[in-house]
Amino acid sequence: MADNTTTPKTVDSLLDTEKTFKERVAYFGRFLWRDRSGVIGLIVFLIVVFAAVFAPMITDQSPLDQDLRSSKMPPAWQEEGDWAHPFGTDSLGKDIFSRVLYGARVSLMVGLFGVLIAGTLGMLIGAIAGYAGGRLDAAIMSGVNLILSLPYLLFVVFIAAVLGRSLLNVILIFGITDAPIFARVTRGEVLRIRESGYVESAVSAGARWPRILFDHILPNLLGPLITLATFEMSRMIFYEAGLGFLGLSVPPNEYPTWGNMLAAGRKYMTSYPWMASFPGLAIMFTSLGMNLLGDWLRDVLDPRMRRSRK
Amino acid sequence: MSENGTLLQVANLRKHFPIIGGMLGRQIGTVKAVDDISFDIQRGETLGMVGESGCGKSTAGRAILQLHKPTAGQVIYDGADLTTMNAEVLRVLRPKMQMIFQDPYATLNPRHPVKKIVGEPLVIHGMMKKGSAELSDRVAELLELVGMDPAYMRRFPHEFSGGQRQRIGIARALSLNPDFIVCDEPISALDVSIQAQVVNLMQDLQEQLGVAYLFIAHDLSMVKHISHRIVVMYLGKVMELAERNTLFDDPLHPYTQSLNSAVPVPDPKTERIRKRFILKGDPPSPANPPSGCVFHTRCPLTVERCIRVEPEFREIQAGHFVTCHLADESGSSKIPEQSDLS
Repeated sequence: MADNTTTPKTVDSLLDTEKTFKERVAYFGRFLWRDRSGVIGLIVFLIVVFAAVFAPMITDQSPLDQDLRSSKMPPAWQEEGDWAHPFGTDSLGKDIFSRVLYGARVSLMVGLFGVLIAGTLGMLIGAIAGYAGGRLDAAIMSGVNLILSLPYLLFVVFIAAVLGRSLLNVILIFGITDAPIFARVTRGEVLRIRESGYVESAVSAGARWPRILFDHILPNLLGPLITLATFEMSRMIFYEAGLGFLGLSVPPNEYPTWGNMLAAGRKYMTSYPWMASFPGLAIMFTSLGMNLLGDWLRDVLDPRMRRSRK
Repeated sequence: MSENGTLLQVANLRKHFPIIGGMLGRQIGTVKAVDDISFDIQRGETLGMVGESGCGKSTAGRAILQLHKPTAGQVIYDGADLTTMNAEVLRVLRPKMQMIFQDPYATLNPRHPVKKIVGEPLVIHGMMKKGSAELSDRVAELLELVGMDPAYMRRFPHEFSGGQRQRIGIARALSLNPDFIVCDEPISALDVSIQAQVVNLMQDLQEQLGVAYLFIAHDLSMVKHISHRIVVMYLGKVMELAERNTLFDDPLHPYTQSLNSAVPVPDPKTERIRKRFILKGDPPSPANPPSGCVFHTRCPLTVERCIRVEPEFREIQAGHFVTCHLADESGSSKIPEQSDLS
């Protein structure tokens, strides 16, 4: 029984208020290291964030400047390539490397703010529906299901066409159209937790509603929602690229996005494949990383999904 | 077995649940989960409550603690009626009445360490500050009381076995020094070997702390072991209420007799020759209870009056209450030995 006093090496230790910050970070690291794909996901995500934030410092090329004299240059490692344009240039002579870096900004902004809006809206709606129950619940959820039954991308394309093209509009579109998914998950979790034994136990101990909400319902709700958020973020990045490809996202002369780079490179695919390949790889890379990260977060944050130690 | 006064009095308690159905969500029926039950609990006493699944035992326990608002009736605790109290006044009384739950895992928040689980009632009632040394000491004391190592207080529920979790649940219920604990099948989710441990622990705690239990279970032998008096429920109603020994040696209600005969005797010879009364069929639905005596559909002694007239819950002998038309001191409600019912 010597190990009675050692701290539990489980996820819940993260939420143990008696832990110091350092202990938590150390614990987090250990847990992350155990799941290698999670490490990869995190690294990929950090690289993308780094690229987006420090784009002007990584390259001195402007993503928007045209230079027709050096158009259609191949990547630097091929013949005729130049390290001034590591990924080559597009048909108008714009530097692809810097466009990929700056493109990460749009993708991340759409993903981050889109999820923030969708998450906040959805959580609010779902929590009200789940907590109130009865007819209000039925009314809210039939509205939510109605939106969910629409073909998602078609719906998004329609709104994008109506609202017009700007970064703000894209964020709003994803924020609003994605809220129903958060609402549904939140409602389900609230229903489950509200009827759980530990909430009843808290009531019988005399707890008032703020304690029940903030101490019992919210912490148990946050895990699944954070996990959902990472998956939805990756999905939004993906769909933003789709919108960009269709020419409905941010206008290409305002800001480079991976989607409109793909669209522009499409017609040169056979002769100048790098124009579409690099933004395509960037989308794949980011999407994969976010999904790995989400998988790992699900394991970490959900006590029921927790893997046993190897 | 000190009987120094009534702690809790349950009078004509009813809990009905509406059945909602149809497109418009109208009420299309009522489940009479608890229908007019009355009994009392003395200080420091264990009142056993037995009955088949779905007979309203758990609902009765929750209605007494006002976790389900009763439909009608009174629950008088220490002279005050809980059913008419507003939520805030009730909250102040909560420390005196606690509950131990059936499923020891579901009732412990998976994200809280043991210390927080056991100490939460104390923090809720402002008796101790969160994170204070005083709280840690009290939690350690409680864990020791239920036979657990105080070092466990930083662990989480999933790190414990079923029996340990139930001890944590008991420690939590005891944290506020209650006078009365509703134990809702506290042992039915546990291994048989652990059941005895937990029951003995509860008995020890009763001796030390003088707490009264309403011990809900469907295991007769366990109830016999721990209870001073026993209530037998069937379809939301009390069938019989008596001292433990009276109930087992001289049961008056045919239902109690049949329950009794279902308990195996730990002696193969006796077991082989004894007569058993096996009830036929399932209990009727509490949404549509039978006329007259609710037990008449399965009772071997049913007479015409049982079908028409609902029997009263009456005292046959001192402290021995029965809900049966036939019950009297001459024993006419006894199922005859040679009756062939199976």
